[in-house]
Amino acid sequence: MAPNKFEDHIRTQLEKRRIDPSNASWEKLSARLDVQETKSNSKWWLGIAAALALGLIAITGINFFEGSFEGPQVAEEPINKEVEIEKPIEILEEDSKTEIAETDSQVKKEAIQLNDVGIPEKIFINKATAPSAQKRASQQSIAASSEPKSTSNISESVVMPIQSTIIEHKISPKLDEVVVVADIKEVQIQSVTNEVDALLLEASSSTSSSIGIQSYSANAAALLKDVEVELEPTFRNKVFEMLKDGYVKAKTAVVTRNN
Amino acid sequence: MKVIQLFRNEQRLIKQASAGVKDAQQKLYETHSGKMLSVCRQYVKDMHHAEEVMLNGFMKVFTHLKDFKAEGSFEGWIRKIMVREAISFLRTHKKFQLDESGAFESFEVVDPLNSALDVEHIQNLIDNLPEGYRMVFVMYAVEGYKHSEISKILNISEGTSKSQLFKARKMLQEQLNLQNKANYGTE
Repeated sequence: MAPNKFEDHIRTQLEKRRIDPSNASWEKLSARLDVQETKSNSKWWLGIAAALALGLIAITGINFFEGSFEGPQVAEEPINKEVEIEKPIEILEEDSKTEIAETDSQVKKEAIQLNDVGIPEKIFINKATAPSAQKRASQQSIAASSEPKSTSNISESVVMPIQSTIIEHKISPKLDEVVVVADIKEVQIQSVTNEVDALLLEASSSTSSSIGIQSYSANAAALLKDVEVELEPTFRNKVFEMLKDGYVKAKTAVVTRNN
Repeated sequence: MKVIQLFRNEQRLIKQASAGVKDAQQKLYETHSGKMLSVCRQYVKDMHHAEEVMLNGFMKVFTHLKDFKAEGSFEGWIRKIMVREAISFLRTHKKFQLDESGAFESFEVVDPLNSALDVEHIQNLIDNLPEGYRMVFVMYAVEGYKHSEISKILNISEGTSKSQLFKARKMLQEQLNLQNKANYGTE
């Protein structure tokens, strides 16, 4: 078709044509491609960093709220522990009475023979109190061993809050509570020992008055004091050790958190 | 066999270039840059600007290489990108106007002397056309786009596309006649 020949000719000629670009054209293009690649890489890293930051914020936020909820629960625990601590003491009193009534050794037999009253033997205070003391010590140790959990819970709950000021505000009241509990325990122990002393004195006075002879007596108070001396440091040390551990834990948690 | 081998080589190069291998990208550039610069030159008069358009086109080719589906030819895919890039350049720099008025007739350029015009001469004839006429003429007569496709790309009506083509052909005919008259004393 003649009318289309001209346009066909144009098309053919232009299809065959090749124009070489300048020598620096590839370098220009390569440089632009490099810039584009670094931009896309930085965007990739920015995306990852943003996702990590969001994840961290979410985790700390969740733990913060969990920590705030745990606060009252932690506050309740020491009260329960106090109640539990009281119980062994009560039981102990009963045990001491029963054990005092029991006869097991030669000395007691002699005492019975001597007075026939069924004395609360002072001699047995050693034996009675020793196992009971051990029992008390074990019970208190059981009670005491549960305390580190509370302090550890405190330290764990303390780790959670983000800011160190919040952590410090939470640590100090908890530490105060533990100190108060320790004081209460000491008072209770003292009261128990006083009661035991009183009972023993009563028993000794009754026996001495009834038989009229100088029986072999042991100083109950001195014996108790011996036991207390053995006990108290152990118990006190334990409490103070726990406090110290809890404080150190909280302190390291704050320091690592701030770093 | 040679054609298949070349095809497989090109596919491998495309894959490597898509992964960012510089050597593969350079090879693809060197293979197609001559043709693509010629395509850009059909639309853009200035050679320096035509090369800039070609580089912009190759930037898009390499950044969107993953979008190339091996359904058609790779050269055809690059060519489309170059045409779009050239039109975009003309839009932003030249602000060409497309005359939407006027009826059009079916008009074919006829060279009475039937001389085989060389490519430089052809290019000169095309360069003398206004931007709007040139774009439509090149897209229709050289690239083979239909009026419906031209109207979508240039965001004009099909009637405007046909009108522009008619006017381009008319102008080319007038130029040919003038040249022939000047050279040979006849129309």
